[in-house]
Amino acid sequence: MNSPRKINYELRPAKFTERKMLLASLTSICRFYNLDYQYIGFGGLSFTDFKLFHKELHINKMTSIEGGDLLQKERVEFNRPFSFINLEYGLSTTILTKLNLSEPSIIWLDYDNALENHMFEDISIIFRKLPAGSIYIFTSNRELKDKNTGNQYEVESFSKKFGSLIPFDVKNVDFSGTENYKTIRKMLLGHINSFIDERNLLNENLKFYQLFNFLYQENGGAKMYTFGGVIDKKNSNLTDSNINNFEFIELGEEPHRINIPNLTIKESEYIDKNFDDEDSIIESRIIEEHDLKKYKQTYKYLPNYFDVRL
Amino acid sequence: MSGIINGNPTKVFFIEMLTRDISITDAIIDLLDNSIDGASSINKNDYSNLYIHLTLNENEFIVEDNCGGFSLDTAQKYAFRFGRPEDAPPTTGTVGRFGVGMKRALFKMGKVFEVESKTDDDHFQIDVDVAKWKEQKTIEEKDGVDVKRDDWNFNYNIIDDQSKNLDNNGTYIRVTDLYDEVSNLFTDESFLNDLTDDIERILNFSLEKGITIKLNGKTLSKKGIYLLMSERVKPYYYEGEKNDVKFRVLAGLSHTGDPSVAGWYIYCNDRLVVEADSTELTGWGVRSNVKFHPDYAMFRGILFLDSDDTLKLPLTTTKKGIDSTANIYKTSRTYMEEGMNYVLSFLKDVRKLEDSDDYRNTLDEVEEKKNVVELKRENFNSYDSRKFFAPDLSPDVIKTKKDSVRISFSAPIKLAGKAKVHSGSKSYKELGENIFDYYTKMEELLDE
Repeated sequence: MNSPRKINYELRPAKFTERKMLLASLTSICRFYNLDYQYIGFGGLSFTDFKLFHKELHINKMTSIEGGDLLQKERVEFNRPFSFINLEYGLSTTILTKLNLSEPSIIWLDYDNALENHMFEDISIIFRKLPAGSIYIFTSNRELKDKNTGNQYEVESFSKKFGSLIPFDVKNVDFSGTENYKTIRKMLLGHINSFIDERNLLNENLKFYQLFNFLYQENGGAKMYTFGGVIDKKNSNLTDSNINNFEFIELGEEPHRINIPNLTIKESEYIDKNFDDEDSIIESRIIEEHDLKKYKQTYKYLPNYFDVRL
Repeated sequence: MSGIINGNPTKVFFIEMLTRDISITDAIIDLLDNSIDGASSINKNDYSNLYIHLTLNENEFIVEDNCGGFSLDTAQKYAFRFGRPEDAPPTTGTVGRFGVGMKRALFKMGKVFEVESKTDDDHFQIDVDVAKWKEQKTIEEKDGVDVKRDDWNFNYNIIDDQSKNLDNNGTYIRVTDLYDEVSNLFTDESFLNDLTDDIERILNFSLEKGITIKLNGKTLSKKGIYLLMSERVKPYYYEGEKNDVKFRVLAGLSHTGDPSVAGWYIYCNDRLVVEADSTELTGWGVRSNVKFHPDYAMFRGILFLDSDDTLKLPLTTTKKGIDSTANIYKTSRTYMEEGMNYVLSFLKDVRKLEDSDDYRNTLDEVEEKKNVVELKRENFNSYDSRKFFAPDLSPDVIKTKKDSVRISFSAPIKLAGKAKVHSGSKSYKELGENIFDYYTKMEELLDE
C-alpha cells in the first residue's frame, strides 16, 4: 500500500506517464458510459491521482484508503488536498467491505508491494458488487519472490501460498522476470472471471474487458505491473469505440511497456520539429534510435520537470 | 455381434452395500424424518399433540408415532419400492424423497422387522425376515424352461384388533434380531447421549413446532445456534429464489469459545443437513478466501433452503451434506462467501485488539440474540441486504451496555504475591477485587 516514506510519486517519470495514460483513457471511458463515478484509491501523502481525477474527470466522491502502519493521521489529514476526500484508515480488505461498491466506481489499488493473498480478497469484495461501467485497476511489484527467503518462488512454495488461485499448469519458469507478469495476469483474470461467472449464473450477463497491461520500471527501481479493465455487459461496444485508438490499450496477454527516453528538453523539441523525418533525426547522431522510439510512444504523457523558485 | 448384459440390481446391493453409506445415527434420524414428514402433512406449522417415541435396547429398536401413518396405496406404490418411481406424486415441503431412507435404515439395524401403519382408511402390517426375503424367488417359464428371478415383493397383512400396536393414526416400526454392533451401540450410554444431542440439533425446527420426541422415555429439547442481532450488530443478509428454491443467507457473530461449532449451518426445509462446516464445501480456503482459524470462532453462517418440491433441494440421500454442484447451491454460495468475507474482515480486526478475548466475551454477553428459528421467521424486508453491520471495535463502547467492566493491570510478581498472602486472597483475581473494594471503601466512593 502507500508508502509516504518513499519518494514522492510525482517525481517518478514512469509512474507519472502511466497515470497520464490512465487519465487519457479514463476520460474517454467516462464519456462513453456517462455515469456518475466514485473514485477509490490509496492516497498516500501526495494524493496525486485524487487531484488529477477530481480536476480532469470531475469526480467529487472520493475515498482514500490509508493503510500504512507508520502513517500518522495528522499528517495524512494535513495533506488531504480536498476536504471532500473521505479518509478511511485500515487495510483495504477491511475498508472495502464498508464502502458502497454498488455504485459506478473507478478503483485503483496501487499496491507497492509484491503479490499477496489480500489483493485477491480485495478483488472478491469488489467484483461481487461492482456495477457495469466500473473500472478496476491493479498495480503491484511484479517480482514473484518469497518474502521470507527472498528467492524466486517455486511451484511448491507458490501453490502453498496462493492455493487454488494459481494457474493450473504453472511451472517454475513462470515466476521468472520475463514471465511473472503473465502469471499474475492469469491469476487476476481467472479470479475476476470466477466472480463474473457467478454473477452471470444470476442472470447479470456481465463480462470483464481488459484494457490495461502495463510494465514499467523507474530508473533502477522496482519492476511494476499494472493490470486493469472495465466490467460491462456482454454485448458492450466499448472496445470497438475510440478507446482502441490509444496505442497503450492492451486487450490480451501482450504488455505495453512504458519506457522513458533519456532526452534533454532541447532534444525533445528537436524530435517534435522533425517528427515525420526519423531518418534525418538518426543521421544527426544527436538522438539514438531506441530513445526516439521510446519518445514517440510516450511523448504525449511525459512529465517535464523544472526547478522553480517559489 | 451384439448381445445383452444383465444390469439388474441385486438385493444384496440394497441390504449390504447401500447401508454402508449411512451411520446408525443418521439411519435413525432418517426414520424420524419420515414421521416428521407425516406431521407436516397434518399441519405444516404446528406439531403440538404429535409425538415420536424411540425405544432402543440390546434386543430391539422401536419407533412409534401418531403422525398420520401412510396408506396401503402409498405402501404398495412408493414406500416399499426401492427408489422413488417417476410417477410418484410431488413431495411437498418435506425432506423424504429418494425412496431409500426407511428400507436402508431397517436393513442397517437388524434382520427382522415389522412396519405397521394406521390411517383413517387402512390398518396393515408388513413383516420382513431379511434372510428369507433375500432368497425369495419367483419362477417363470420361458421357452419351456423354468427361470428363477429375484422376487422383490413384500407381503402385508390387514390388522385386526388383536395384533395391533397402534390406536391412533400413525406408524409403528420394530426391528429385532439386531446386528451385534448395533445391539452393542444401543446399550452404550455415550451413544445414546450423542444421539440425543444429534436429534436435538438436527430436528431443532420440528421440536420448535411442538412435536414431542422421546428417547427411551426421556423427552428431548430443542437446541440451536443464535446470531447477535441488535441496533449495533446486524448480520449479513441476502435472500432470493432460483428454480423454485428459496434461499436465505445470514452470516454474523455468535458465542465465542469453541471453534468446533463455528462455521456454516445449512437447513433444507428446516432440517439441518450441514453443521458447523468450515471446509471448502462452504467456501473456506477456496479462491482468495481464508482457511478456518480459531480466531474466527465467533463466526456463524446460516443458509436456509426451502422448496415445496423437495426434489429440487440439493440434499444428498444421507441428508448429511449437500450436493455442492447444484446450481441453487452455487448461487447461494456466492452470497455465503461474500457474507463470510465481511464478517471475517471484522474478526481479523478484533484479533488485533489488545485484549481480544475480553472483547469477544463482552460482545457476546451484552448483545441481543436471535436463535435460528427466529432468524428463519424474521422479516428482513426493511433490512439492508448484502451488508454486515459490525459492532464498534472499541471495548469501552460495547461495554457501555454492560453494568460492569473488567479492570486489569500487571504488578511485580513478588509484591503481588506478598499482597495476596497479606489480604488472604485465594487468587490474583480475588486480590484484584479486594484492591478495588479497599480503594472504593477508603476513598468513600460507595456512598456517592
